[in-house]
Amino acid sequence: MAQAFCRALAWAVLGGLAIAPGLLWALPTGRAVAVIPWLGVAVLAGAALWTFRQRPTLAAVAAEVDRRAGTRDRLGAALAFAGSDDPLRRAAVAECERALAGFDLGGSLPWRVPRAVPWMAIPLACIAWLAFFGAGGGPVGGGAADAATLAVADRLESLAARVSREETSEALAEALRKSAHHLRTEAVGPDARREMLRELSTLEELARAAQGESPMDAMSEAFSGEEGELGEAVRRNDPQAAARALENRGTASGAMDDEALRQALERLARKQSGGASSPLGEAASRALEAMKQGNPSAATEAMRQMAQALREGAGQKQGKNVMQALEEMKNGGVPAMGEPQPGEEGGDSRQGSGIAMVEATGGNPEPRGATGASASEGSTPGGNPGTEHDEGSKASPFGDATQPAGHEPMQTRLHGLLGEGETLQSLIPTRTEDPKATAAYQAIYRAAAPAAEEALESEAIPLGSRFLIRRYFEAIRP
Amino acid sequence: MNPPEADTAQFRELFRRIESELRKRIVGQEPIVEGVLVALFVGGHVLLEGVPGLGKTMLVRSLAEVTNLHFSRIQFTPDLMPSDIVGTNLIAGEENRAFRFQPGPVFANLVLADEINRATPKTQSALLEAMQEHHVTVGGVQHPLREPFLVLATQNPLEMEGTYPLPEAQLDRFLFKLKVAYPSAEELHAILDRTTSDTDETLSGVAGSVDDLLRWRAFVRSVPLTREVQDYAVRLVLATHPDQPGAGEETRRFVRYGASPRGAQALILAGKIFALLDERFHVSRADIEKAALPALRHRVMLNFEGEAEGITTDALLAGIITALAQG
Repeated sequence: MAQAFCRALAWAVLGGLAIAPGLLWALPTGRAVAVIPWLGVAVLAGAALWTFRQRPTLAAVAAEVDRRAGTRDRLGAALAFAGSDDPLRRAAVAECERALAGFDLGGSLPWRVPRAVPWMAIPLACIAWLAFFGAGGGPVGGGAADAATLAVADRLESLAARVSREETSEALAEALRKSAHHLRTEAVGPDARREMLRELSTLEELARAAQGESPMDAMSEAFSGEEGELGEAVRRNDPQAAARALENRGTASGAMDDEALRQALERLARKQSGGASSPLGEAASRALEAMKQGNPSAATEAMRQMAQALREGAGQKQGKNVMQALEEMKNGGVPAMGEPQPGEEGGDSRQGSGIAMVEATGGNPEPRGATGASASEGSTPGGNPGTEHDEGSKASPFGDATQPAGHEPMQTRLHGLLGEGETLQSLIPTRTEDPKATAAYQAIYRAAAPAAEEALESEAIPLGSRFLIRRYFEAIRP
Repeated sequence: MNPPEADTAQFRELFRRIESELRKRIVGQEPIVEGVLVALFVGGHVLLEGVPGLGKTMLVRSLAEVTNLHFSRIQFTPDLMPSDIVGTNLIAGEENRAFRFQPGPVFANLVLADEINRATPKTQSALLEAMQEHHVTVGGVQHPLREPFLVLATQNPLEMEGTYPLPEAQLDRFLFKLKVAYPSAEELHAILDRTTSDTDETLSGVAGSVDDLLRWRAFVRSVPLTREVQDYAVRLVLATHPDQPGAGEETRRFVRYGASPRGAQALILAGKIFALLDERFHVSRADIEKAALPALRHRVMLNFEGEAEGITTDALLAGIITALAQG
C-alpha cells in the first residue's frame, strides 16, 4: 500500500512538474509562484485519492506477495482457508504456516524506485531553465533589473535633474525620480518591459499636465471673438504675430478702457486659474489687475510679459521636451523620424505629435527589434502573430511615433484659374467653446492603453484570443 | 476417516509407486508417464502423439498391468466400422434366436485407440459418445461402460496423407495431449538393453482395487483452491481467445479458436494432482502453469496465418503464460 502510494505520488508529481513549466511560461511570475503551492497540494491529494480508490484487496496483495516471493500461493491459501472447518483446508493452512514460518517475506518485496522518478528530470530541467533564463530571454536575477530597464531608469534620473534645475515642475521631477527607483528595484523578470511602459505612460500624463495647455490654445479660446491684428494672429495660430499684436495692444491708447480686451483677459485668467498655472496666465492676471487698478504701465508690462510667454512658449518647452524624451524611451531609445531631440525647439506645439499613422496589422507584424532597440536593451514585443504569444504589431502599445507637423513640408503646385471662382463653404465641426468631451481622445487612449495591456495579461482571457483584443485596441488607436 | 495428511501421503506414495513400476518397462518419457497417471486419477482421456516405436502401446499395456485394470486395444484403420468399436447385436441361440449384445473393445477400463486419425469420422464419432458419456447406445439400448474408463488414443504425426484429422469436438474431449518425444542416446541404449536381452520385467499390480482408484479420484477433487488461483486459470484460458480483452497480439493474429471451458476444467483438475504430489493441500498457480501445455495445446486452433507462419500452440501458450506472469 505504501509503495503503491509512492508510485501514485511519483506519477502525480511528474504530472504536476509537467504542468509547472507551462504555468511559469504563460502566467506572470507572481501569479505562477502563487499557483504552484496549490498545485503541490492538488498533487498530494490526487495521489492519495488515487491510491485509496485503487487499493487492492488483501487477497490480491497476498497473491502478489506469493508471486514475488515464490511461495506457491501459500499466503493466499492461508488467507482464504483460515477459519474453515474443512479438514483439507485446515491441513492446507497448517502446511502454509509451516512453510512460511521461516520465510523472509520482506526480502521478497524490495522497495523499487517508481518509474516516474527518472522522468521528473525533464520537467525539472525545464523549470530550472525558465527560472534561470526567464520567458523573455536573458538571465533573470533575484531582483535585478535588466540593462534596458536600468538605462531607462538612468535617463529618468537625468531628466528629473534637468526638470528640477530649470524649475519647471518639482512634482514632475519627483515623479521622475520615483519612477526611476521603481524601475531599478521592481521591474524584473519577464514583466520588466511592461512595467517600464506603464511607468513611462504615467510620467507622460504628468508631463502633459505639467506642460499645461498650449499658450496659443489658451489665447485662441480667450481671444476667439477678437477683431484686429491680435484676433487675426490668434486665428492663424501665429505666436509671434500674436505676441506683437499683444504688445501693440498694450501700448495703444485707450487700452485701459478696452472692454473687449479686459473680457478676453478675464477669460484667459479664469481659464488659467482653473488649471495649471503658466506664465501666460499669470501675466494675464497681472494685466487684468493693472487694468482694474488703472495702472497702464503695469498693464503694459504685464501684456509685454504675455507676449514674451507666447514667444517663448515657456512651460511648454520643458514639458514638451520631457514628453519627447519619454516617447523616445517608450520606443526603445530611438527617436522617430523627424522628431526633435530632447532640448531642441519644437514646431507648433498645438499640433502635438502630428497625425497618428496606424499601420495595417494583419498578418505581417514587425519582427522583434524593428524599432531599432538593440538586443542588449532587453526583450521587445513582437511574438508570433495570431497566437497566444502575439504582442501586437508594434513595439509599443501606443504605436510608432509619428512624424510631427513642421518637419519637411511637401511642396505641391496647384493649377487654377485667376479670378473669382466658385466658393464652397462647409462647416467643419470642431471643438467648441463648451465641448461635451472633457478630454482629448488621444489623451484618454494613452491613459487607458497601459491598463488595457495589464488587464490583457492578468484577466482570464484564452491565450488564443488575446491577439484579437490587441488588434481591436490597435484599430481604435488615434 | 483418515486425516488429510495421511490420505495425501498415501496418494503420493501410490502415485510414485505406480510411476516407478512403469519405469521398469518405460525408459524416459517422465512427463508422458506422469501425464497418463494424472489422467487416470482425474478421469480424463489422453491423446498421445508421437512417431511409431516410442512405446506408446507399451505404456498403456504396462499401465493396465500395474493398475489391475481391464485393457483393450483398438487398431484404427480406414475400414473400421463403429460397431467394431462399440459392439453390435448378434442373433444368438438356436431356439430363441434373440438378439444378444456383443460388447465391443470399448468395454474396458483402459482402451488404447491406436492411430485414431486413420479411422473415418463416423467411426471416430462412435468413440465420442463413449468418451464423454461413459456409455454406448446400440440398437436404442444404452450400455454403460466400466469405471474407471480411460481412452488413450495415439496418432502418428508423420503419415498425414489418407488420415482423418480429429475434429475439434473430439479433440476437446481429451484431457491431455502429450507429445511423445524421441528418446535420447542414453535412453535408446537403455531401451535396447531391456528389449533385446532375455530379461523381461514383470510388473506388479500396485494400484489396489478399482474401488480404491475411484476413491482416490474423489479425494483428488476435494483438494481446495483459492479464488485467485481459479481466476488465474480463467485468465489463462480467456487469453487464448482472440476476441477477448486479455488476448495478446499473437493470439489476435494467429488464433482462430481458443480453448473451451473443458480446458479450464483440465487445468484445475490436473493442478490438484500436481499440488498433492508437491506435498501441498492447495492448488497454486505453478500447478496451473505446469498443466497448461498438455491441457490446452490441442484446444487452441490456429488460423491460416498462424499455420503459414509455422507458429506452434506450445509457443503461443508459453508466451501467454509469460505475459500473465509479468502482469
